[in-house]
Amino acid sequence: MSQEPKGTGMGGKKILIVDDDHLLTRTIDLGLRNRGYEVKVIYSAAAAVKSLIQEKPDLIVLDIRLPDCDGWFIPELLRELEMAQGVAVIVMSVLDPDREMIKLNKPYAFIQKPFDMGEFLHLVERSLATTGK
Amino acid sequence: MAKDRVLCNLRLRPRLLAGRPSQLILLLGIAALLGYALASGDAACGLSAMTLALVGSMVGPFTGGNEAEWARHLEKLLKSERDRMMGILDSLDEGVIMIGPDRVIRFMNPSMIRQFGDGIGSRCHKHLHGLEEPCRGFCRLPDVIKGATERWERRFADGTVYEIVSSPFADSDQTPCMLAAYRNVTREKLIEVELMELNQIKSDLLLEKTRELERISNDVDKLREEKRRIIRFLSATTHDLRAPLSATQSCLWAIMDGYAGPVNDEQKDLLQRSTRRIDGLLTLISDLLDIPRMEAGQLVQEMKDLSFNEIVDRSIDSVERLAREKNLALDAYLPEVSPQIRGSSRRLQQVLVNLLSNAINYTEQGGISVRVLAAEDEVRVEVSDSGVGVPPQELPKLFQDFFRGSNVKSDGTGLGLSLSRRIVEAHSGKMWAESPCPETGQGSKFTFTLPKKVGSGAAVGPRTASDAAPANQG
Repeated sequence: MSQEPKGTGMGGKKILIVDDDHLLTRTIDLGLRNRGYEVKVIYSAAAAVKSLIQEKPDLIVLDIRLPDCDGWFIPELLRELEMAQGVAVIVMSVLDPDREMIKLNKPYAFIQKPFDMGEFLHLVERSLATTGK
Repeated sequence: MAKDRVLCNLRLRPRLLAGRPSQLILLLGIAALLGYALASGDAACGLSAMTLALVGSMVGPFTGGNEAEWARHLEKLLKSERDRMMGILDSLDEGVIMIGPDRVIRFMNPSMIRQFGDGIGSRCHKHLHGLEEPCRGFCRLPDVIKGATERWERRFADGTVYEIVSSPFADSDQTPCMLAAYRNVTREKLIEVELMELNQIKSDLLLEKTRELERISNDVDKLREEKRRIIRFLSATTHDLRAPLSATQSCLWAIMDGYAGPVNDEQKDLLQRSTRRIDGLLTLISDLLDIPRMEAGQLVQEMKDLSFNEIVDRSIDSVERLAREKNLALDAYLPEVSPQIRGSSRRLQQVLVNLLSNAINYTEQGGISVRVLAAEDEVRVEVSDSGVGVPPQELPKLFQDFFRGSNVKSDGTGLGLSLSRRIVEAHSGKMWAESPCPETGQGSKFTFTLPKKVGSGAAVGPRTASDAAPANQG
């Protein structure tokens, strides 16, 4: 993808990044902030739950392998809290997609690591457009 | 039968005997033959008795001859018949014995004498079994004398086994006796015992084999559990190896694309080299983790109905960045209607990514093209490049496990092409390589085929990598 200078993107939208890999979260944070998104980085599922309720994000970028539990826990919780409609989820993993879990939890997208920032930002933009908030 | 026949003859003759005392001898002769006939159980003996009776009937009316001459003639006939009967009894393998109601042995044929010694006149229990008192429990004499025919087996002290058939028989003096035939069945019994032992050995072996199978089955269960454990371990290892490399790769790409600020050409070149090294390592990890699956013949496990164009699109997306970094054109020519196939999306994508990555790695100028041709019954995929090509002597070894070409520049296991061919073959397809590419006369061309589901489209339209849909949606 082409080089992306600092842009406006869909400013004001809140994005929660949940991944315990600090290098990757910093990279994603950099890309998203360049687009003007409000970003919060969380490194565990427990902290993500708290932040989910307090921050009410528009999008969660979620690694499915977290230090304290399986990342699929988050979309399950969203369904239980009836928040799934208002929050888009992009699932990331270095592993191949688990089609059964994808079918069950219906994230907006699955993206396999490593990924290109341009491609990722394109996906973020489209996912936020679907939440309609 | 023989007995009945002789008696019948005798009933026909009384009138011939009247007034002829010498003919009593004939009657006795017939009676004697009758005895032998019963002893031997042979119809020939009965026939002899009949013959004698016939002779009697012939000599009966003879009244004008010399009595002495007639008696000699009769004696001769009797002797001849007796010799014949003895011959028959001598030649029998079976022992024949006649025992009277007082348990005294009245007759033994030579075979019986050979086997038990001459006991005529002795008590049967004493002579045959060395007992002072009649045999208890197994003596059939009383029943047989009353008319029963019996068959049983008797094992003697020395281990010999006889099959004995006994039937009632009236001796020449009309004393009710028992006539018995002894057949030595020791050898048959030994064979029977051996057969039983063999059967026992067979059952023991079967039992042992069954237990062995159970042990193997348990071992297989343990191995399966071990395999599951290894797969879990491999899965965790895959993650742990790939996660830091993937994060680093994503980070370097972001820096290269200017997300962390402007990047000059030299910095960009260094970053590109770094990302290629990481790409190589990621491929190496994937290939290494595929070795156990490849050896177990389980590379392709899940087959589904697939739209082939989507697989090509996703594969191109995976390598598009690599081609862009080297300023190489990456063109795809796909049928307008995507061919439908049955297979593993992940594995077929692995094949295409492998072929495309190789093409990009070995091409410095020009470009790479993917051409998908949908024939009536198969999908044909051609990946061509304008790169360095493959030396002719290395073409036949290209798909061997761990083969590394002489012009290889990157890290790797030498498994990529071998894995790809196995995956294609697991889909009932074929894969081969040509260098130089026959159409362009440069680089190389890798082709593979896959069986197509009926009803797929065949029209081909050009498209470029930039037309491909974004990867990994949903």
